[in-house]
Amino acid sequence: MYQYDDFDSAYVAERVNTFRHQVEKRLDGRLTEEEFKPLRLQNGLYLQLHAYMLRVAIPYGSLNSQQMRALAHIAERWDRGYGHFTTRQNIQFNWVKLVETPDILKALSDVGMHAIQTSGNCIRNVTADHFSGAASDEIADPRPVAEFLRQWSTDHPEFLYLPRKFKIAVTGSSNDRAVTKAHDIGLRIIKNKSDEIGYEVIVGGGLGRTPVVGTVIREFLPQVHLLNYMEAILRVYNAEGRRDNKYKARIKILVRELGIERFRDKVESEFERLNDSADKLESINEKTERERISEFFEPPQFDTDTDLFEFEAARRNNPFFREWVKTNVHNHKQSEHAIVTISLKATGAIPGDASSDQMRAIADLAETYGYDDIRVSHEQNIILPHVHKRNLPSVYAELRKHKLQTANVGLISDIIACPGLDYCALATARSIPIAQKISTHFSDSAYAKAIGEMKIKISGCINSCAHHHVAHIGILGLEKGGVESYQITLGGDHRENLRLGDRAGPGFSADEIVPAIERLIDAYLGLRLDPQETFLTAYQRVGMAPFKAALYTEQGPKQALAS
Amino acid sequence: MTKQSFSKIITANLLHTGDVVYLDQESNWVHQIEKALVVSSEEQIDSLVGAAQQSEVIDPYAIDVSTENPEISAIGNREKIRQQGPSVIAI
Ligand code: SF4
Repeated sequence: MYQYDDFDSAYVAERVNTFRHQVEKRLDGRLTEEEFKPLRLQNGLYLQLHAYMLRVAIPYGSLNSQQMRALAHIAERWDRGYGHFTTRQNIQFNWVKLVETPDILKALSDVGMHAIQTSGNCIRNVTADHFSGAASDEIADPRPVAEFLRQWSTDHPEFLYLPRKFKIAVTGSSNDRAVTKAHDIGLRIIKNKSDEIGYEVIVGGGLGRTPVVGTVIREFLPQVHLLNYMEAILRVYNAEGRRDNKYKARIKILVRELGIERFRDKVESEFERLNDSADKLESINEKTERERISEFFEPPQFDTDTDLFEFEAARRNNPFFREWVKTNVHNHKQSEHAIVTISLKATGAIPGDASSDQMRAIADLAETYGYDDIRVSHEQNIILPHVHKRNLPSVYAELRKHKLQTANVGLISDIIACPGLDYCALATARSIPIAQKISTHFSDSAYAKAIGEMKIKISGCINSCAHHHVAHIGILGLEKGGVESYQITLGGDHRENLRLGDRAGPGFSADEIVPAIERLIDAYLGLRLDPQETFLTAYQRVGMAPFKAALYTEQGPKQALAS
Repeated sequence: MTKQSFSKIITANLLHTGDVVYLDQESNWVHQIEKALVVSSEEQIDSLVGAAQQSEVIDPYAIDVSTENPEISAIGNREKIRQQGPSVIAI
């Protein structure tokens, strides 16, 4: 993985010192809150309902064991012993104190981490496929591109005050696990007919109040032009994006208002101008820089031992291990290796939360069995991207000791939930208790497996941090007359053919939501053609009507279908 | 209870820690909502919130409260959760 060079280390250390002075000035009254707020936000420090919250950037969700241990230490020393992994592949600490934040930032900088640009109207943490460098379906590892973009966008003087925040995601696989079509810019690494690697560039996607599926602006962009093309898009957005209304300030609104053709024309002409201009970015020797960065992401020296006796024996003899392998282990590009997903969704747990002990256990596992590589997924789980199959029984045994062995990845209890009204100052309803109720209700693993693949995502307000628009069953928490009300959407899909869910109808109270989900599941089980037909495929085949009937009339699914 | 009845108190978060606090009778910021000063007019709210901007708290604002308990208690999900803490137990 990428290691800070002297420049990076000096820059981050300087930012910590600067912030320390700013905090001192705020505490002794030389800075007012009005003056200080933008400064703390630039360093990822928010004020939530009960306390300050520090959002730490985990670039493209990638970290090593030393960094994970530092996060565990921060949670223990300056928070309440846990952290919350988010859908932006970051971690949030919910209970930090202003006076201690400079020390936390120092502890982060000591291990090559920071909280810069995790807030504000700038380019945020670049996200990427959490299976990067390991996936069997990968065309190329997206991390070098993501790192290249991270360096380009960090403290980029032109793009620190954009009309609104700006999110970029990169995938290197045809199976999109990075939700690229729901980002301001999505990049998909592809090959053209001549087998050259380049990017499909998608622009103007986003969720939130106005969900929009991103549109392809460039079908194939050669690698060498990446920065100039990104500059061109950002320049058009920076100049023409709306600043008069924050609800209309994201690039998706600009693309929609101009139309993709006009927007593309503007970008292409800016791109041409950049390519022709004397200060064109290739002058910084982009190719060499890209190659330098790529060297950090060379695959590890994989253990090529093909003896899988222990793995096969454990799979035969231990039914719990067998089930865990089925749900939480995915194919690796090296056949004797596997990708392990550690579920942070134990029954009734808070999705995405991990204790310091759990973080340390994960760090130990990565160091011992996982080539020191850890990922955070946007689905709020942790990934060990490279584990030799021989070591899977040992990994599983260790996970059990730390209550991290839940075998539910991709199933109904693998729920994404944002912090909601339990923590978030913007929330209109709670998300976590709803996730806990659903997870507890569907805790019978045989039943969950019978239901099969299911993505439930719960947001505590219209900002949609939990991606509910692209869930198979999306739940949006609102407030109606002082009471929490949960609106359901159905049929969303977060993958390469991103699809927004359809709103089912009026919302449900917190007490009604689990029975409503149960009715949806009963309807699905009653109408699916066979156990291989997933909820999403069934929804695509039959549409909203039978599910709506099940939700609102309590008719059985078969009658609803017939009506 | 109508809006004009002015069962309101002033709340904020402490600058140093972010803790939720309420303004009491003696202009101290306290953690216990029961000790909060119930304000009697919009003018009083404006002047207290204005003065609080210069003090050891951030984001001061007035909230509606119930005084029927007879102790003061928050109204609405947001302020109840601010008062009582998260409704969920972390790890
Ligand atoms: S969706 Fe709303 S409630 Fe949830 S974290 Fe985002 S802003 Fe907060």
